[in-house]
Amino acid sequence: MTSFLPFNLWLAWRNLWSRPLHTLIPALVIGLSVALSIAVAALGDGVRQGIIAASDPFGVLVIGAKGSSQQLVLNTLLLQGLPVGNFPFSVYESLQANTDKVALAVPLAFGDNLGGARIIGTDATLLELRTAQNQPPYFQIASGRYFQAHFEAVLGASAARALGLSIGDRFQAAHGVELGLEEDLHDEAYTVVGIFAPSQSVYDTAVFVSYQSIWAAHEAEEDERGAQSLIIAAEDADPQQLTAVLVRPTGFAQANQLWQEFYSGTEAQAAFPGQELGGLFDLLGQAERVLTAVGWLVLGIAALTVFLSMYSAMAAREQAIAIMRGLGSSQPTIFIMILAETLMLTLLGALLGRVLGYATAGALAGLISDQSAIAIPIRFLPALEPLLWILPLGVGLAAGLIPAAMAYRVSVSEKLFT
Amino acid sequence: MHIQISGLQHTFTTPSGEAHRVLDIAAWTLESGEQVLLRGVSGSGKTTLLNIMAGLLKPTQGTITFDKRDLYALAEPLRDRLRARAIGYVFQQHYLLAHLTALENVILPLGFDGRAPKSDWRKLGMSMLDAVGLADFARYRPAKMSTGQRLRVAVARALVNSPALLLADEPTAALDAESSAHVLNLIQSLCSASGATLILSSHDPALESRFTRMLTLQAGRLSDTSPRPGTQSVMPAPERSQA
Repeated sequence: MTSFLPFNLWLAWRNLWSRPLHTLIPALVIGLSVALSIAVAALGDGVRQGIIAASDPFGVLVIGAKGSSQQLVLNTLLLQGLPVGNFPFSVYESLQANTDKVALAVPLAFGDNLGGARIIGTDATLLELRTAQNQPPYFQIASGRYFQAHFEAVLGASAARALGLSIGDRFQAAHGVELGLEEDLHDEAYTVVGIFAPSQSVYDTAVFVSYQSIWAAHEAEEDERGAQSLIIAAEDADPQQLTAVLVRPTGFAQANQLWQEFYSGTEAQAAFPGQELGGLFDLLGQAERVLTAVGWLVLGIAALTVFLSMYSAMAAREQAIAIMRGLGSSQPTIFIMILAETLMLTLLGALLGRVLGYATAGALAGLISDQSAIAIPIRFLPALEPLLWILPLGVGLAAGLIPAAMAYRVSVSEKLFT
Repeated sequence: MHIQISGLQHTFTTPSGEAHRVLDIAAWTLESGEQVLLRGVSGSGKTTLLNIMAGLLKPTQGTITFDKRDLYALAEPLRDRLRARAIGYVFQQHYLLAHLTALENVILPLGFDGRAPKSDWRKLGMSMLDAVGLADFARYRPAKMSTGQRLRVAVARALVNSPALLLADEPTAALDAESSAHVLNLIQSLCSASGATLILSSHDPALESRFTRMLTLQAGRLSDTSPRPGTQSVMPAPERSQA
């Protein structure tokens, strides 16, 4: 009955639940303000972590067509938005030849899709990408083999699942990097020869083919004669264009030199993913700050709700308080009891807010992951905890002071005997 | 508990601003264990006197001492503690807390007093409910109980701390004769068993036969109207032994 709580707290608890609506609504409002702050912070943290993890294996520099460097990075690493454009294959060749500065260069050619899954033209250097030099290759074949000939395809783990394709299946690619941009299909068919193990990156949703296949498909499409076989077209296709090159420089200084060279050049640009994502995170941070401010505003409203709830309840409870005083309760006991009620109410709200906040962040992270294929991890944020306890409890304390003072001053003889 | 009242006066200010004296008691002494019927018509000041004795209403003038301690010379927290420990009060409207069960209502004074170990509260509360015949109603809330049952819970609550003084304000006013007799038997026997002093106010003449000492309040003045030879005014205070 009263075994687990000190008497005053037990009484406060019983008082709270004697008017559940007056308790739940303010607790819910407090919960919403806490939930908003937590959801914003946890989701922001998750998006940052997700983007960092998703872009982790893709080298230090991204080379692409001149234009928005942020768009280049987002499109290349996270497959978000449209490509900036293409650049001559000779740029890639010169990078390959520049062994003093370039340790690894992975060519990427975008332009087609299969049921919304991007088709990425590349080569065997993709299999050399690693999160660190001492780590195993990031992309590992789970079944089948890597493509070795034109019009052979390897599917990302998610793509294989989503498209329902398995080794030996054949498919035709569609124009455009996203579903619905261009509905017409290329004539040539690809054959699935392998499926990647899950990499936890956005590339799990993609289909990988040789970049020569992509060129061949487009070249054959433009071939008015249409008499040549597609395979011949692929073999004969002149090096054309790439959308991006992932570069692992030989060192930090070389990375900066490469960036400088591309900056002063006209054919392509180089972008540091970390720098571009940092800019993106700054934007994200601004949005977080606005939403967090909204959360504090809601907390202010919650304080008013708690105050009004306790204040309006006081009129109805004066007699009950007078009865307790008549039974020997002291004024400080009553004061503490009312404060304990408001603190319990805010504590309840703060706990509710945590559940709602992390649940909302988890649900939104799931939605974002579904749409972007970026895994958004939702983590418990211990750094937020002190603030998210102190603020609601401070609000509860402040909101409870006047009702507690009113209760303190209740005249027993007036309330019980007049 | 030895109770002594000296020069007690209490004056209310009426809404029209006039002073209205409701109590004017020169002297009155009550010995430990006595059971007294306090009579008087409605508005005669019975409840005011009981409130003053309970430490809930400071008199305009005069003193009331419990075992030679001036009740109103005590700081309010000490008066609250005295009320929690030594005074039981059965209010006229019973005043049970609606959101608590019968048992929870009964143990409230134990919590405010704080002397009894918490582990004993349930046992003490149940034993009081058993004494008033309501052990089976421990988990009932007041709204689910009859007027008589609520009164018995109020009696159990007033006595759970084994107070030295029990004040009962018109406890049987809302009861029929049979229930009234039952509750009075209960109050008197429990007070006799614990040795508590009882002051019970009522304007019901049917109760007179139950008490050997009766005091009547009329126009704020108290007179001893006990049905025995030598009835005298309360001034000077009557010399009485324990009832």
